[in-house]
Amino acid sequence: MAGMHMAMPMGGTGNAHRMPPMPAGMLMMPGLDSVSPQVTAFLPAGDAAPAVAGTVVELNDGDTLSLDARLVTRTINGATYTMYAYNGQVPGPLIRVKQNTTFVVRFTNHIDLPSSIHWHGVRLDNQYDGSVGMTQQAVVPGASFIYRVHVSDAGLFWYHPHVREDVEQGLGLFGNLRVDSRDPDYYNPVNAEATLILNDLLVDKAGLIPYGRDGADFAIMGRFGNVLLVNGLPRYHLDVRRGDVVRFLFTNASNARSYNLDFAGARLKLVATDVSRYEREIPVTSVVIAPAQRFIVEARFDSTGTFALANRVQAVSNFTGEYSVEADTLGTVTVSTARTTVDHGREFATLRAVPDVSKDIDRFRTAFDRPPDHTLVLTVNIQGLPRSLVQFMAIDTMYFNPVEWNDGMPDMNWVSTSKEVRWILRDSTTGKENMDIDWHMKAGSIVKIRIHNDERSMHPMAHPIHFHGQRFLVLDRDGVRMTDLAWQDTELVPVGTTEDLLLDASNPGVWMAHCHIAEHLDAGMQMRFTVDP
Amino acid sequence: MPVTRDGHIVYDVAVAVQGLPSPDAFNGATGYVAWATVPDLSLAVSLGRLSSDGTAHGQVAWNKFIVLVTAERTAGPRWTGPILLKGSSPSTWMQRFQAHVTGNAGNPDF
Repeated sequence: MAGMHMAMPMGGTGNAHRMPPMPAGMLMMPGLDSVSPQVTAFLPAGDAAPAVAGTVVELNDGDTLSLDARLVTRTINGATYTMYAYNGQVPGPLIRVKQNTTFVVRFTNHIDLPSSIHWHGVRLDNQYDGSVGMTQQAVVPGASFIYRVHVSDAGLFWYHPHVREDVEQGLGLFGNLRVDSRDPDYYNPVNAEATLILNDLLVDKAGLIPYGRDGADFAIMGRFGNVLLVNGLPRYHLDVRRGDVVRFLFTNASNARSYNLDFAGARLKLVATDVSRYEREIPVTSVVIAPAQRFIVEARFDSTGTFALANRVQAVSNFTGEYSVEADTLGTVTVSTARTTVDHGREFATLRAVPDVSKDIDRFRTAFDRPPDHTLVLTVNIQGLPRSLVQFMAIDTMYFNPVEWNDGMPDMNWVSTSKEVRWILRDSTTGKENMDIDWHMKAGSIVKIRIHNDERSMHPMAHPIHFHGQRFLVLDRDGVRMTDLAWQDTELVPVGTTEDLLLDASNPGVWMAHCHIAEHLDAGMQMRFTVDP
Repeated sequence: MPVTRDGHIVYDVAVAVQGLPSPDAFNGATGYVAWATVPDLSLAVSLGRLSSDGTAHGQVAWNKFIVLVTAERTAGPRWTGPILLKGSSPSTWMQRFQAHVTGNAGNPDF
């Protein structure tokens, strides 16, 4: 779709567009100095009280929780911003319930945009899924909606808006839902637990870099923030004793950023992901977590000292054509000389096999090797961006980074909006794209889906693909069979990669599947599938 | 996905070669070996001797790398024999936008 790029007032405060901060030494691309995103600049404004830290809310079967989305102020690194929060808390309340519980949430929208709540990863009744335009109308400012949430799976889930997530989730509307198994031995014994939600904000000296009111900006790569937060704070800290085993429950609520989490050498093992534990625990040296994914990780701190929880990636500069190490400290863990009070070293050292998960997967194994029922290709169509930008991108795609850990071309990314960029899920068999796709599957069926991320597209990048209301296994990656499986609801598909998923289509209703990079979702990367009863 | 602690993506490298003559044509070499090395050649790993079907496999965790096939008499940590084939990771093709900005005096109408 062709568009005109008009020069907009640059600099200053308020709701005028501002070029995002550029990495040191990077010059602006020719032809971009007089353009800005072709969307109205937007930042929330209004009466707002200071946000407070998130609290834990334990609910029993049948309980009701009132959740509201409201404006808050937050002071981060000495600067104060007007943002959003659930119940004034950042992160939103951590809702904690037992497996097979039903609770009610009365949601009231007190922000300046229409909203909803999506219960990410929960296989709940379709009518409460929160998908605006599919399962409900948007909750307009001042209105309310009742969600009845039944949780059948134990694990770590989260909740967030499902309309203009790039703005609302990006500005703080997210929280965890933790579902505890009634089995006291569900997880290993540990000395401590920590629930951490990651997200990032893009700011400059004048404040938050504005969003797009009538469409997402940063539509090519998504909005990568330059302030990395854990539970809404720029520096997380935990004190432990030497020998302690700590269970970290991570959620990535960032718009676009995938993390490579490192604990400065503490021993780590993966215990669970989105919807289940792994068949067998997996020792790792770091944890890659894409937007919307959750990982439960156990760490043993054997040595005294202070260890950084860091995001350590190989950042690429499209400007210089080079890589460099980008290491951001998200927090610290201080290990005292005092010994742990209860030594769980033996349990930590054992890579526990979980027969319950394997048994659950067993009835699906006969479907592992059958041909795919559906094939999706991930690609993009870009029209109407400045010619210089298009020419650079055409040359850029001689090479693709399997995962874009950073924004290597911030000025080019910023000017692209969902008006010029259309991210695409394409059904290879029918040729249908995005919301023209409507797969039908019978409840109780097992559906194999092949996803290929097209490396030949105009700007290939990794996509975290999320299916609502169901769970899936990742069977194969580029023809290599995965081991130590676990049920997921979101999978990061790197560029040039083909992944086979096995969907347990058990939950009736009309559901969405989409890329969970918030700007890509706004730029069209979503489809419908129906599980017929 | 396989990523190292410092953020390097771990690549499975598969080499498949056809049409090479017998290795003894190269100063008495006994076989062909595939290697991966970084662009400045400071680091190198062997991907293994090519098997009878001309293939070799290995893993590298580098951002940019070059793949070489050489004719060798004996196994060693680096190649000593002649380099017969060379390939490079797609990441070595990355264009430098900097060259456009400074090379064309910032002219938007290039």
